[in-house]
Amino acid sequence: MMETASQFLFHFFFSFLAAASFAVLNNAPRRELWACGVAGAAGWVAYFCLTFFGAGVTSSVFFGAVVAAIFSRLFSYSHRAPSTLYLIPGIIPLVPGSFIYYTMQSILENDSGAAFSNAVMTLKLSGVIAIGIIVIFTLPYRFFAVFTPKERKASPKRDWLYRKKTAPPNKRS
Amino acid sequence: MDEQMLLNFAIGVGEIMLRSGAETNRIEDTVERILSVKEGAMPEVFVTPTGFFASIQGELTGVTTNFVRVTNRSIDLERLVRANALSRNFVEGKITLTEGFAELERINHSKPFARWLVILATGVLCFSFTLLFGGHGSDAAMAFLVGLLLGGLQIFLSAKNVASFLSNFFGGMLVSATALSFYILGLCQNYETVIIGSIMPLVPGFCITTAVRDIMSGDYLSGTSRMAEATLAATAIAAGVGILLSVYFSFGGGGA
Repeated sequence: MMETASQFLFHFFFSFLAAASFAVLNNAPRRELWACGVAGAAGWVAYFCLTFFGAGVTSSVFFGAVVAAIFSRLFSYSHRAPSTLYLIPGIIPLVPGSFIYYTMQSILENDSGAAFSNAVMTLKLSGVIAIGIIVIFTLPYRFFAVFTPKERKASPKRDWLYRKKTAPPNKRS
Repeated sequence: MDEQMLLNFAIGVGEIMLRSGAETNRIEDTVERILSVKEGAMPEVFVTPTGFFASIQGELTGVTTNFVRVTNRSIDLERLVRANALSRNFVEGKITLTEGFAELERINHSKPFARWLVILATGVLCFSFTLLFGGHGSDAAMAFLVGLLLGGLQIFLSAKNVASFLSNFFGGMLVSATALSFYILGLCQNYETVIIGSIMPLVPGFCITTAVRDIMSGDYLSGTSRMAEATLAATAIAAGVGILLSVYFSFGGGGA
């Protein structure tokens, strides 16, 4: 029991690190890095949990993508930012990078059958991730209005989003 | 409000979003919303990954169409977020067109993370992926070193404006060269996990899924071209890794 718990903690921690550092590579805003990490960790832990209890790779990746997409939409509402910000780091742990490698390796070994099946697996997993995202993104916006957005303090040096001076509204001619 | 200025502003916002890797849907929606600020504008937007058209109808000027060609794209989440906030503030009437242009200029000159931080992040990324994919502790430590080198190489190549195919190719070569030499020196137990963990920063994961999503939402043109982009990137990485691996195999190091 302890061992299982520590295994989950291990996976949570390192997928958090992976997603957050991928967010750094893609130049995410500094104060959103932890949220990117949480989205990635949630997706990976969901995937790991399913494979741990014996589900197949494809369905585990699907539900991992679903969980990552749910988290990105929750963050997107409560932080008032586009959901892509959390989605890009969120799905990166699930991306079938290893199958790209195995495809290449079986091509090198002149094993066309294995190469084809690995290539198909790459396509299948990326298709499944996309479907998982679409399932969540077609749900209406109000489903994810769970956490109310925080009012940030307006400090013009740090925060370009909330200005102190409010400009006059546009004249709609 | 001048239609021409509004169109220029909308195009500017859309260009930033397209450069920073937003989905086709989102860009079309944003540009259309900005143009709809003017009543009776009848905006039309058509976005492909390499450029986009937008047109607006004015009372006196008739239909005005503008076109933007976008050549180098790389994911930049900070710009994406700021462009999104800018368009929202503008549509809600919180800022004027002149302020909007000033903010556009500021977004275009926004600073990326410090180089050492990007290099360190690449290292941490490779380290944690190697552990997640079942690598041993020593594999992960070596992947960290590979990641540091890879981060440095990527920064160097992007500063030299090298095409993305070549930078992926060289990245893959560097990963397999260093991983194999660490393996030969006996510093790690398994070169496969090191390589798989270390190519993760290069793998076009979001590109593939965006391609499928674009196709499913009916944007076939951008979907297929993104798919081509992703396939090209994956091929480049695989070729880079594979060339050195096949050299290693042919000198009798394990495998085929």
